[in-house]
Amino acid sequence: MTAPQKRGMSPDTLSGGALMLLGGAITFAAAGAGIGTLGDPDTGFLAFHLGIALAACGGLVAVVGWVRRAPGDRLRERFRGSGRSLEVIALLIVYSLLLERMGFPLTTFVLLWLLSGGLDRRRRWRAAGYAVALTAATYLLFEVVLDSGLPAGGWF
Amino acid sequence: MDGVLTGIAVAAQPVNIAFCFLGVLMGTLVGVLPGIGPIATISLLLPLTAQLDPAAAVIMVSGIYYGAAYGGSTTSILVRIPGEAATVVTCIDGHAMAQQGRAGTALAMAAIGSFVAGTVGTVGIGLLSEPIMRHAVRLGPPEYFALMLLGVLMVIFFSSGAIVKSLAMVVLGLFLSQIGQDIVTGEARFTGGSLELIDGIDLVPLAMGLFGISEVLLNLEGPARATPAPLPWSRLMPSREEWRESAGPIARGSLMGFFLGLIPGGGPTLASFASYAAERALSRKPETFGHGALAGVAGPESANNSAASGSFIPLLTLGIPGNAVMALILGAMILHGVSPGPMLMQERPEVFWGVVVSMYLGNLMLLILNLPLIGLWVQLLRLPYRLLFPAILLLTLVGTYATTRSVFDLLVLIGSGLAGYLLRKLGYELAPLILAFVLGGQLEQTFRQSVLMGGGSLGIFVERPAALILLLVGALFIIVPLSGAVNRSRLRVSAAE
Repeated sequence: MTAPQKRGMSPDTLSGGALMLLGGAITFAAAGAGIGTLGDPDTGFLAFHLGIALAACGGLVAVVGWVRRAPGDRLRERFRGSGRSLEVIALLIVYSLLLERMGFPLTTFVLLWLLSGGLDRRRRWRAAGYAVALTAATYLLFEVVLDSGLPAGGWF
Repeated sequence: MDGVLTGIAVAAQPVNIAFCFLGVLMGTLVGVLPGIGPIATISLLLPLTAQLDPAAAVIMVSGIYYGAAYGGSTTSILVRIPGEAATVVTCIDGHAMAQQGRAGTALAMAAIGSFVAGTVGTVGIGLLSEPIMRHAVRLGPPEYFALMLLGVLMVIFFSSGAIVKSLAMVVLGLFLSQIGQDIVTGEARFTGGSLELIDGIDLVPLAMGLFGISEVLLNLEGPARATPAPLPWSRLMPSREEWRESAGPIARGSLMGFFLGLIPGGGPTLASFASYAAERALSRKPETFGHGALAGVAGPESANNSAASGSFIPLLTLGIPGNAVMALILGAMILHGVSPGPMLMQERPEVFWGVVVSMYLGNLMLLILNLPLIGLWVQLLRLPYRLLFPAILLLTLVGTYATTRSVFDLLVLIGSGLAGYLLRKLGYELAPLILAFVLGGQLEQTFRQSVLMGGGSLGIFVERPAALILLLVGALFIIVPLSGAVNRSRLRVSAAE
């Protein structure tokens, strides 16, 4: 007989807690900016009340999440398989930071090559061909047709 | 009648017909492709529309909007990935029908229902706009505030999942709209000293990230997308019984969608969910929903197209964008010196009526495009996702950069994508967030104006009957589900998915 799964902290409890913290931070920042009165609201008036509302919502989500937590519903389970997504996000961030320095053609080619499986030995060359074609097509569309002014980066 | 004739004269110009066709074609394409939607496409094309005549520009971007509603159903039905938010609910029964070998029927009914609904919506715009505009001049800040707040609260009500989570998203969206320069004092607020945030967070990267990038990331984690089987033309035609079965849902969806589209905060997504819930409640065989009920496709698809038309009314008559796409269309109009609102029909009748009449033409083009071209869209969807998603991400990134020329906005885009991914994994809805963000500035402005009018008290909202009624209705949309009565039926809707 398998041991019953423990009911740990549910994702809702954690996300609710995060919202409470965020709401608290907003309230604090808004108070610093000045609240004023209803008749004469200052810069932080609306944000102050929004912060309180967000914290309250977060608290409710956390409490309901705690009361209704199901065995096995853990954050780790919810985010199983997220590795690939986080890799993609990291690639996109690096792409954005290098776009203007290295130029559109090079950075885009490398990004597309990596995203379409360039590190897989079996797909290396097909991915490279796909990356070249898509980079060229996008360049044609945005730079030539739409005249968007993509960064050349000194390479072209 | 004069207005309609003016509209026909404008819409029938070859250049406007051409741009209408271009708009609906692009709209269908972006509707089919998951991860890039009308928001991204319209924002990308905004600079291009600056070269066009105002009527042509608005006709084209409008075509993208309601064209996407058509195209989104194709991918929802064939591979259970919503091409755009308004076709999420079509995934449920549409894909079930495809698995039963009835993909052709589902696709045909979605297209035909969309055409009927689009026609109803276009006629509705023509009939209702003038009376609304006549009364709109009497609306003041309290009524505008109450109307926008009602819209936001209705989005919360109709979103799936927990009410409190949707409410939290609304609050978060309102806060995000606060970032930037205070409209009254001119002080920077919550910018963290960043110069890029002085003008606030840009809608384009925020929306594209939240919806587009998060969608791609979630799809990457799912099981390998089923490739749709080729679809012969002969299998597209529904049987007589299927026509009979769809008539009621199409009619109901068209009317319901149109009126839901009128409400700020309403729109195709809201309408499609509402129609699905209504059809299930009215059906004599509710157990078939979730397992290939034709009404579960015909109703929502009609509703989303009708709502797409209906959502033009608040924009054109009141100058209030009801959703994120309308906000971008508003941007396109302002770019051309056209101010939507109660005076639009008088000051720029060629723009108003030209757009309305072109919607009918556009719907006709979409019906003709979507049925014969389904084979082409199927081929597009047969591309392996590992080739499709890099293209979608690239278009999203380059589209943002081309519009804003800002690396900071690219980082906002990616950050929004990550945030959207995390929020969706944790069961939070994004539609309330983006709607609250779009309306946040106007909500704050009208609230402040109202309080000023009331001499510094909230009593103004009680003294103005229209505002009071709207606020009470809005309160009901939150209190009733929180009391538990409606949550149970909402949970059943969610469970079916």
